[in-house]
Amino acid sequence: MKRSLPLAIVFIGGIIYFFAYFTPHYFSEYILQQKILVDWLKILGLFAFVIGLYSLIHLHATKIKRKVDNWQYSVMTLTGLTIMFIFGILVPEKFGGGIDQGSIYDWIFMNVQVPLQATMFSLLAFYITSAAFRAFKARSVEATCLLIAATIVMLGRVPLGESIRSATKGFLDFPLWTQWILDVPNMATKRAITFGVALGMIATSLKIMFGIERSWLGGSE
Amino acid sequence: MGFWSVLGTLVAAVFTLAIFSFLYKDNPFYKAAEHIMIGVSVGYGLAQLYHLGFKPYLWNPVFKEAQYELLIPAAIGMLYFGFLHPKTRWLIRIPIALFMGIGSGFSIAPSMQAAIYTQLQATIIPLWQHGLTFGEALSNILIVVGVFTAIIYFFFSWKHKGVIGGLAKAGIYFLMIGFGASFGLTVMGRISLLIGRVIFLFQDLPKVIIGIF
Amino acid sequence: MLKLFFKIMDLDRRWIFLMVAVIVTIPLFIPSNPPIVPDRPVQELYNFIDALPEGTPIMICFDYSPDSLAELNPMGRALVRHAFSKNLRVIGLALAWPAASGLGLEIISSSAEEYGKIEGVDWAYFGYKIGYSQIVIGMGKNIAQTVQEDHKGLSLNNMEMFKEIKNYDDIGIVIDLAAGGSLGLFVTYVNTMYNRPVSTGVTAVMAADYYPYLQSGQIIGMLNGLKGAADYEKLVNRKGLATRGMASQNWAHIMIIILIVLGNISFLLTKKQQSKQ
Repeated sequence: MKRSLPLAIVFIGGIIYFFAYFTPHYFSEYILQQKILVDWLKILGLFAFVIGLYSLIHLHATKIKRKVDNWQYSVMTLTGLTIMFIFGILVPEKFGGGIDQGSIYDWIFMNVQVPLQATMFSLLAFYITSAAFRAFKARSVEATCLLIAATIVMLGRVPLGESIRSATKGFLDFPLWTQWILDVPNMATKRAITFGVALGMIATSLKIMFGIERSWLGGSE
Repeated sequence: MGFWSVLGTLVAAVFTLAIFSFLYKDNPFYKAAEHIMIGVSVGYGLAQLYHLGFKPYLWNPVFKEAQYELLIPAAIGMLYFGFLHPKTRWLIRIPIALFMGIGSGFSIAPSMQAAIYTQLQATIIPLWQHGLTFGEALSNILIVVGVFTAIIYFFFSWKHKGVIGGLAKAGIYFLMIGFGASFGLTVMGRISLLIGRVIFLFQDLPKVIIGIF
Repeated sequence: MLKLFFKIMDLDRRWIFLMVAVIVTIPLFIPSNPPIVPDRPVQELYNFIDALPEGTPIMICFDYSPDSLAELNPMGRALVRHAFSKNLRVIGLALAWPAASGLGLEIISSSAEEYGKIEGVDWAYFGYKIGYSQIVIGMGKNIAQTVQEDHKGLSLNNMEMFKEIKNYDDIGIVIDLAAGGSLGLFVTYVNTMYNRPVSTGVTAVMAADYYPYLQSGQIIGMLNGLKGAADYEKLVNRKGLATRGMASQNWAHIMIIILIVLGNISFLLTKKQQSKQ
């Protein structure tokens, strides 16, 4: 029951919806596709979020309760979450609550979350430069191909490439070469990878539908 | 510029610098900023979900428009809460199974069409015909050869020896050029993200500070 | 001399970090007018939008979070400005990340204010909608039934705009501004299943992966990273954040190329020394 019921649902759901895609009948178009696939599944999605939320709260609450190292930071995480919850959901709009522009929630988003997230990812600029300096070496013919292509693209995507083109009267045309690299060899290899990924996804979908792939069930029971 | 706007810019600057402080070494300011970010972003998502998901999808249709059939997916969704107790943990497999079954079944045909048939069709291109310049014809030939040899490289059912080995080797060169292009663009992308923050710190923030005085 | 060179090569990485910060910052204080020539894919998207008849709605999906706003916000702003300047209507929503909800709203509402456009008539914003693929599939059948309410909780059925916009058939183009794999979904469903035009603006990191869709015609044009955004700003003749950042981008690339060259010289010299020994 614990395993066979979910496996049966996956199999029956998979088969029905595989054929629903090709069936232009009211039942398929309206009931299966609009009602169940769209209206029902998006409601299911709402509840899936709860698992993530619970895990986060549980993790940090446990850290605080057990006073593990750096537990004070967990207090900050939970405080941030609680403040957003209070102003976003509990406080009425006339007191600055709600999620509209101009609300306290929106102010915190724009002035706390946006700069924090944007800066966090901007750190990668420093690390990629350091990595390029230390590790981007022409150790073999293959690595040299990679290095030359990367250098051409780096030059062709910035105004310097345009300036060199003008200065050499089109002899060193990095923007054109960049476009060609992206359009031809890059496109060809990415297409080959797309085939592989798509076939892999379809094969996995079929394996899930037919119960061959069962890792999603988790646990042994 | 209003008080809240000025305060907001200053708060944003403090958090920006707290994150940048990590470049020197890990420190409590960075850790605090990182943890606040996690809490605030999850809280942001939660309120979005409540106002733009829960209310319009479930609450309003059921309680204002009497669409009681929507209680069925809500009941199935409640099974997610089964994971709170070891004995009922298996129940979360049911909503997941619905997602997986319906999602897998419905996506097979359009995925095949979008990522295989159409892509294959776009690879069947004229290698030489009237009206094509030499450069265009060469590019078309390289596209076909590139796709073919890169696929061969990923084909492990035959040993990469002889002709197959040669084709796979050619595939590696195409792949390396492709990865080089990706790397060049990755460098560009990462620098762009930094530029966004630098513009904020050195152009937008000074304007606000000057405005205060 | 060689020893000094190797010593320099062995610098603490924090010195490199400092160099990056300086190189990116200084160009912002030097007035310059870097040459920006729009790429072919950018021009293709611009031409397509430019040729849409007045009043046609375009849909922009903001599928990114603040991590990538430096690249994608300028694209969104330039696209919305172009649409409003051509009297096209704009529909915005966020599917992949809840945090995109506020970003997209800010772009559309501030641009609408600039062009005197009215919410509910000239533009609509749905905010973050959970469901992702279900929403993309559902909007092809019935937008109002799928999305139900806009970001303010107003029913789409009561909006002037949605009296004549039923599904993708009534929309000129669907543009996905993406920092993740969401474009695949739009190509699979909007383009393949519903046969409607799709385009995209993506972070530079991901752009190389989408050239197969560009060549096959499954997407119409593409904005690729900050350069793509700067190109579009040039085409709509409104310099924005992307154009402001291109000078810094220029110098940062030059520095990285020099560092790569130095790194390789050091590698070759070390190899030579090792073979001598």
